[in-house]
Amino acid sequence: MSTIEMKNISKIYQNGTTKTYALKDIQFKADNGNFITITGPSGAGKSTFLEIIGGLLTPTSGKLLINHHSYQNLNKKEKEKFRLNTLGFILQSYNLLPYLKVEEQFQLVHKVKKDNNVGPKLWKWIVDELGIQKLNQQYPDELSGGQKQRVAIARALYTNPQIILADEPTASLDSARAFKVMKMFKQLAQKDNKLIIVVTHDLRLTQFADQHYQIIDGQITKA
Amino acid sequence: MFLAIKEMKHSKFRYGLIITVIVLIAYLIFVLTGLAYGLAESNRQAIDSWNANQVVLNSDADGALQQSTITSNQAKQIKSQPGQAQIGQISVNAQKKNQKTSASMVGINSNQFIYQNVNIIQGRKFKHQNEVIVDQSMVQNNGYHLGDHFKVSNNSPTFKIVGITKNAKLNVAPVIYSSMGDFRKVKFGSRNVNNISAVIMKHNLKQGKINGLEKISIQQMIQKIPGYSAQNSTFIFMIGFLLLITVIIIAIFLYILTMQKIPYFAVLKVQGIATKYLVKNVIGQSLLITILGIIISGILTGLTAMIIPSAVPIIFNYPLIFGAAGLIILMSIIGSIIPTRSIMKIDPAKAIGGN
Ligand SMILES: Nc1ncnc2c1ncn2[C@@H]1O[C@H](COP(=O)(O)OP(=O)(O)OP(=O)(O)O)[C@@H](O)[C@H]1O
Ligand SMILES: [Mg+2]
Repeated sequence: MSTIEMKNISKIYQNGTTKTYALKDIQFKADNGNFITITGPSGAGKSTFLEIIGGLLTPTSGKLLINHHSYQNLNKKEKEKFRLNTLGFILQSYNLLPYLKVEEQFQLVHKVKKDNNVGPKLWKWIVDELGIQKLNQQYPDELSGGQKQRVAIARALYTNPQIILADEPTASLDSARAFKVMKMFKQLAQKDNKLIIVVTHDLRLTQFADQHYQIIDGQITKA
Repeated sequence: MFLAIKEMKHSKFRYGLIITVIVLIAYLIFVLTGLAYGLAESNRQAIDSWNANQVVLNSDADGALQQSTITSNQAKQIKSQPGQAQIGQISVNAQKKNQKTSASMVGINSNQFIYQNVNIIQGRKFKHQNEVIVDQSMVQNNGYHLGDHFKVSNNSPTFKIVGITKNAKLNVAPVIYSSMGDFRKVKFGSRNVNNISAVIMKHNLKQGKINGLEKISIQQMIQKIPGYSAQNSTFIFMIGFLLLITVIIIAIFLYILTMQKIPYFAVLKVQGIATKYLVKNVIGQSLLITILGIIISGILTGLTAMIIPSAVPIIFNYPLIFGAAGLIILMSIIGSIIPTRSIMKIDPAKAIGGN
């Protein structure tokens, strides 16, 4: 069982005297087995929301519970461990190390997490769904933007995380590819009982989600 | 090490450059170490070969063998004990067919331990007047042979080389061992002057103060060899400076590379890859760079040792070279501290949102 629960979470960025209220008193709860999409205008607070769930940012106020345990109480090392074992992050950029071939990107993950990674059958399915079978020997700068993004998705899934957080994972994919990725996420949520949260600009992608939320001006509402 | 090796393979030119720099610095360090050791050896070799503890000199000589004269009356005050050897020392120019070779003539008595312990590698010890033993470097570098005759000044006797010894250099000049009488003839113009330069003591002299004389340790006398300690401190300074340069170069290079990789490292941290893993890779990279550099410069040093003329006073002493290599490796670890700190400071939150 994996659940995420946010209680009265606010995040204020302070730059000198200017304060940005990125998130305002967020109440949010999500269980595993769900595929959730989040949309909203640029600057609304979507990335901030994901960073807080991922433990990369500390909220200014409020409580984050993961599997009913307070997340803020973990130390740096425990957070590192949690990110490695439980979370899969797909980021907007800089996902791939420029000096590793595609297959070495996966090997690196394997070096630091040897156990409980995806089994060969599931891995083959993921690689096929993403259409990256033939890219193993390429370096990132030999890949198109969309190929890079698909490799990054595969790498995040390699550790078989229970919770997957993705920030614009389909931004540089054509809609057919993007739809395919969404369907894959949906299946992973259903069959492997994962919790998947995807932030996207593309409203058409929300049709694949079990639940859809909007973040506008730092406030979240179920749509 | 996975990341370290993959990155070095991918960016061969970059890492090739830095390894080249390390090769050159390490090579310079090795050569200087060899030169420092070689010069120090050729200053003191002969003294070391006597295996002695103490020396009695004229107190006005201030510890310098070259400046010491002990009269026979003074010498008589020194109580005899086992393991004493009188020496007379003078710097000379050996002359053979217009060719001059600076040498250090050392007069010794055939009934004392220095004469008895001279290590002859060719020929025999001197027995008669005007026979001498010379250091093998005169054979290797100056064209002298067993049986050759030479003078040390226009009116000096003609000496005959009857024996060759090795490891006998004093103040960077080959030693010519002669009888005390021959030495006196050269230094004072007469065999009947009974002066000597010093008395070498195998064991510490069991006697207090002696008027006009002083006893000092052999080490103290070596420090007073003209130029010896100045030379050593110059070399130590240069080598120390090169080690410092190594730290700085490694630190700057790895720091710049690390700064370029910060966004990627941030992403790796987001993915839960431990900071420790990234730090280990940077230190590993720094070690790889220096170890590769040291191996290559070690090969270069070996080649240098093979082709360098024997007249160059360079001796590659393994413990010293390994010590220097160890110091270079230590420097590379110190050099990776700064980039390591910047990795520890990377905030994974900076990786998200594309900014
Ligand atoms: N490190 C920061 N310091 C100060 N303000 C920040 C920082 N990061 C984000 N903000 C501000 O917080 C607000 C929310 O930013 P966030 O990145 O969460 O938006 P977003 O919804 O992800 O936007 P986009 O769709 O463009 O990625 C914005 O007004 C942004 O300017
Ligand atoms: Mg964003």
